[in-house]
Amino acid sequence: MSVGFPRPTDDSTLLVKEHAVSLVFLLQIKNSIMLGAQYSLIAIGFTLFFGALNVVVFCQGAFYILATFIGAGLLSLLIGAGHLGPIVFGCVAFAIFFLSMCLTGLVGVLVERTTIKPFRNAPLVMPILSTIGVGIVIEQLLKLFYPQGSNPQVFPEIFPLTGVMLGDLFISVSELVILAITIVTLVAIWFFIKKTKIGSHVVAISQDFEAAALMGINVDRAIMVTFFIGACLAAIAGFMNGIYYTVFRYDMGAMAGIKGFSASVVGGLGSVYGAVLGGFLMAFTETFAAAYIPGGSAIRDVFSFGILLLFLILRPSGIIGEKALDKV
Amino acid sequence: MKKVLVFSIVLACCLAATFTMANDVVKIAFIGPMTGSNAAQGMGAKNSFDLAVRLANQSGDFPYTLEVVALDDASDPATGASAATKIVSDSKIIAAAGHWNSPVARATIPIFHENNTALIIWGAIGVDLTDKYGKMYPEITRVCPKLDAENKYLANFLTEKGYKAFSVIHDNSAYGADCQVFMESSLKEKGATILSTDAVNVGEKDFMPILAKSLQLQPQAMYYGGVVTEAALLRLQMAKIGLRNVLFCGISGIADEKFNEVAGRSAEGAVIVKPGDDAEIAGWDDFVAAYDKQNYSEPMGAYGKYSYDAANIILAALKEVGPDKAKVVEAIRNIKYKGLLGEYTFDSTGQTTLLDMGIMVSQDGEWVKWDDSSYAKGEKKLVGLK
Repeated sequence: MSVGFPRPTDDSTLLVKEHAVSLVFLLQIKNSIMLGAQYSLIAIGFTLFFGALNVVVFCQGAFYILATFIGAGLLSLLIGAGHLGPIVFGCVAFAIFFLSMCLTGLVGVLVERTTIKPFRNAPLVMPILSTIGVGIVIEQLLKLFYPQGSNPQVFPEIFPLTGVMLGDLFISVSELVILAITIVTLVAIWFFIKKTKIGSHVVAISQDFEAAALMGINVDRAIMVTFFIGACLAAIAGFMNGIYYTVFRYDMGAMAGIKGFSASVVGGLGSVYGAVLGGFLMAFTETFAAAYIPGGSAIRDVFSFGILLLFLILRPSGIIGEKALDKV
Repeated sequence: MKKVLVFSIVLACCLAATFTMANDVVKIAFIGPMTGSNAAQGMGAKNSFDLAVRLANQSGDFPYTLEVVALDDASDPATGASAATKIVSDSKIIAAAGHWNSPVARATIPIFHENNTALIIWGAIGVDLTDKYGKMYPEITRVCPKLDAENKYLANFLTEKGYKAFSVIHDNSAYGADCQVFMESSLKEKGATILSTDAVNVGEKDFMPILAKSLQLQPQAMYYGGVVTEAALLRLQMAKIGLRNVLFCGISGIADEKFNEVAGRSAEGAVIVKPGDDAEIAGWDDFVAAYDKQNYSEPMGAYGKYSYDAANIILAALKEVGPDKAKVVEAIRNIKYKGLLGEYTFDSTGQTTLLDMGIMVSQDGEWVKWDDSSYAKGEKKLVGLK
């Protein structure tokens, strides 16, 4: 492994053809992982919400884009503030990400309190509709009140353009950061569910809401924590999207939300590990269909949603899910 | 009795006042993308349109006040159609200039035709807009070049520079598909090879799967048939994946500073066709000065000059035949108007006979006219050629 810039692949004419075939394959795997990481985190949010309340929270995509706007806005202010040393800049940028994530988490809690809790004993279609409504409201508020909100926004470039060579494959710093964030987040989620008391409360209410309440678990608090974490996960996925693709727009959350929801269904609604698997399965399908099926790039979504349909028909409980999708 | 008389007089006065006021204003409409991905294009064009009307009001040539009704089509056919309906249902609006996106123009053309209201297309370059609709409907004319001409111009320029192996990516709108067809045929005519053709959805942000394939194919140049944001993302991802040394090219759909802003350093050396050759335009400096004087918050963009000319063509027709929709339609079709870009006449399809284009190259973060660039002077070299 060597570190440096410029990269040898900068001059594509240097590539030997046979060499290129395997490199291209590796690149597709890298692309799939980058995309899969985002889908997985959004999907985990869906799965946590569904586990806790048996509802599908359709504004998860809006949390994703809201966090991107907050983070990018604050970062632009930071960059505009003048030149800081790389270490100070890094620390402040990290603090900004953390702050934006927490703010989005709080919005998640607020949404639960105001638009989901009142419908706890209402027909299931009510919270679905109310969360779709909240999603639209958040999107439109961003469009109307963020400076030039309806235009595509550029996510500030915060990582250096260098990277590492893994054999022939170049992995940039931003890609390494995305990988690191994914791993840390997944470990943190595992830790939260398995090792913390409040995590076990969340698991308990997802297994049996009434029994958990009878056992003295503060269900309201557990649900609040679930929504905070779910929205935070969407926020992290939003940052990843900004860092990786560098452009975002107010209406990008809807598609990300639908993809994340599909991933959680494919993996099995209610299962965190299933959500991760589902996210990566959808990302791999999409990327490889776009790359290797002639004309596939124009209809890549057809393939990823095709997987969803296959699962809904053949295995509605998803890869490792226990709950069938009879309540959505 | 006295009360009734006073009331009648007051009522009559009010009615008369309303009538006179209403007669004093003649409206002309502008439609374009003022929000969404292409808002920069639409705002620049709207401002230029507005400028033409302000200058006309100041000139005192019109016995009434001219008013601009500017509506957003958001690059969306449905939004465009509802804006067009609003325009044709307002009897005070005599004519309109519209659209940067061809699919939106396709949606509104029938509305303008059915209501016998003139539409001058200022920025949509789909071939069929005039070849098909302009031929059938006298209401439709266009002041900017068509995309077949732009693609041919670009293909000639690049093949003359020695580019022979191209990869083509286009979005799957009718505009993108037309770009692909005309670019590929123009390139093949010049003996170039098309190594790959790929389509993507409008709004696509992940080009990596396609680009990874291009690493294998080793094109000299990558052509994108689509618009600004996707083009910039594509160029950015080309650099990321290791295709920095492949030339990036496209037509006027990319001619916007937003491309340079989004693509950042990777924009350097991208080559595009821009309609019109500003430096050659007599009166260009006056136009720029007048535009700057109004303190619009957005730059005029690549199509500002077209919407300015479109507005002036409508105004010239108004001056000639008065505020009568049907007569204005006819007057525009038969006009001979000396505008910013030269003398406008429209052929039997409503297409302008003025077809002026130039090559631009991205240099140090902005579009620079080819002849003025360091690339033309040999100080910098376009990538992709050995």
